[in-house]
Amino acid sequence: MRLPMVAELNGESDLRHRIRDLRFFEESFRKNVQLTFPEGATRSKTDQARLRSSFLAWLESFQANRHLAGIDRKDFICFSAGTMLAELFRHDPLSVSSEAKSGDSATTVWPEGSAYVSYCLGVALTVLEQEFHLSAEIPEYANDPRIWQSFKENVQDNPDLAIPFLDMLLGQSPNWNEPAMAEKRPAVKEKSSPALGN
Amino acid sequence: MMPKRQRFPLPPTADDIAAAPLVVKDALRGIRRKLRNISPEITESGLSGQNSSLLSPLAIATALFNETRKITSFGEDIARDILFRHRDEARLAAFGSAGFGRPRQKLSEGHRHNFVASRYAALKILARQLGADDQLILEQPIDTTYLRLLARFSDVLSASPSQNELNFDRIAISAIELEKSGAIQHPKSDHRTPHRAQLIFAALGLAETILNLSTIHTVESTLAALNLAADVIVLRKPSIAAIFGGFDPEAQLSAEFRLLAPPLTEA
Repeated sequence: MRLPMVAELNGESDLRHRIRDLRFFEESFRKNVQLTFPEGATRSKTDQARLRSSFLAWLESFQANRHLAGIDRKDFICFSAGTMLAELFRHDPLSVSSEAKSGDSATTVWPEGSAYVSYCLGVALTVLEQEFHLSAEIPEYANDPRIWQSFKENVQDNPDLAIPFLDMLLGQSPNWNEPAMAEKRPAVKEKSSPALGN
Repeated sequence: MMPKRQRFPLPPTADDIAAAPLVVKDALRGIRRKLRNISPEITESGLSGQNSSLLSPLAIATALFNETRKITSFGEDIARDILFRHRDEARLAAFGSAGFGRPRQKLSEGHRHNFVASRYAALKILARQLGADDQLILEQPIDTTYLRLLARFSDVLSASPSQNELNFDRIAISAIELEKSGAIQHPKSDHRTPHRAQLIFAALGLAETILNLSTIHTVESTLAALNLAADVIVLRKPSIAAIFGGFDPEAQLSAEFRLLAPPLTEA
């Protein structure tokens, strides 16, 4: 799958703080849409109120869970990107009318969904690189149309399932049962259980 | 026996004297609003086609009233567009600094006036943005609230220069006290929760917090903060309803400003 924003996001120093700025979030999201659907056969429209609602809901979740960053920072970055993706699916600010069948399989199966995933994945990968000098490889199955079809059906049923889906793409252990519960994530449980035992 | 001479009642305090012009202005605002809402029984359309020689004195007076009102309101609209906009913008310049969010060593002479005038101008903008253009906004309750807040925040002046932290609680308390003051009256027929005045005052507090966190203090940045705060407060309606209807709204609103303002502040 294509991640058109990574190069631009990498140009931003301290992205993990910048992304908490509403103006930056809106601007970078729109830029990602522009790069994902270049002008031509595909037309897209972003609803500002819905986009802001998704940001505010994400912000609330971020503030409620940020104390867990101290347990496993890398895992918290993946979880935060996952909750951002879940809120984008929940509020669904983007609508794409596409006559074009070109592009990658994700864009063809689900243009809006692929734009949300490429944005959040781009943010997570850039923050991981800036914070830990990690460069994660996107798994091959991210280009499989069947994966996208299944993902679409699941997320339409429960937007929080976007969190474990993004975990899979980022190589983190997913929690499919209670995806929105940060403290139930495998990485958090693993690191906090010895402390509970003491 | 000669009757005792009545003395003209003097205002009891200097604050009452200072507030007197605001009382007069508010009274005039009320009268102007009532005049706007008057609908004489005989309308302009009711007169058309009638022979003027058959009109009663009441009909002539009504026609005259309608025509005069039309001309006056047209002139008033032009005056408002050209002149009042600049006056309101000048008043807004003090909006961010005229509150109680940050401690200070002394209050400037114009602090009270700036507090009242800037909040009045900001409320007009917010009311317009939140679809309450016709809402009557009064200055005197803002002035009364200022005095009450000044007494409540007596420690605002005691801070040393090193204690310059933004106090979210004071901004939230100011917003709630202003809402209670009656500066914008909540019509009894409006059963929505939160009602519009609550949304307007929550947006006012959020805008004040944004400006206090920002390093940019211009009329443009104040207008941008007011517009953004109004947009965001509308999206947070359920939270605002829970805050105003819940236990300890001051602490809850303060937490809301603490959550929302930093991501909305221009870097």
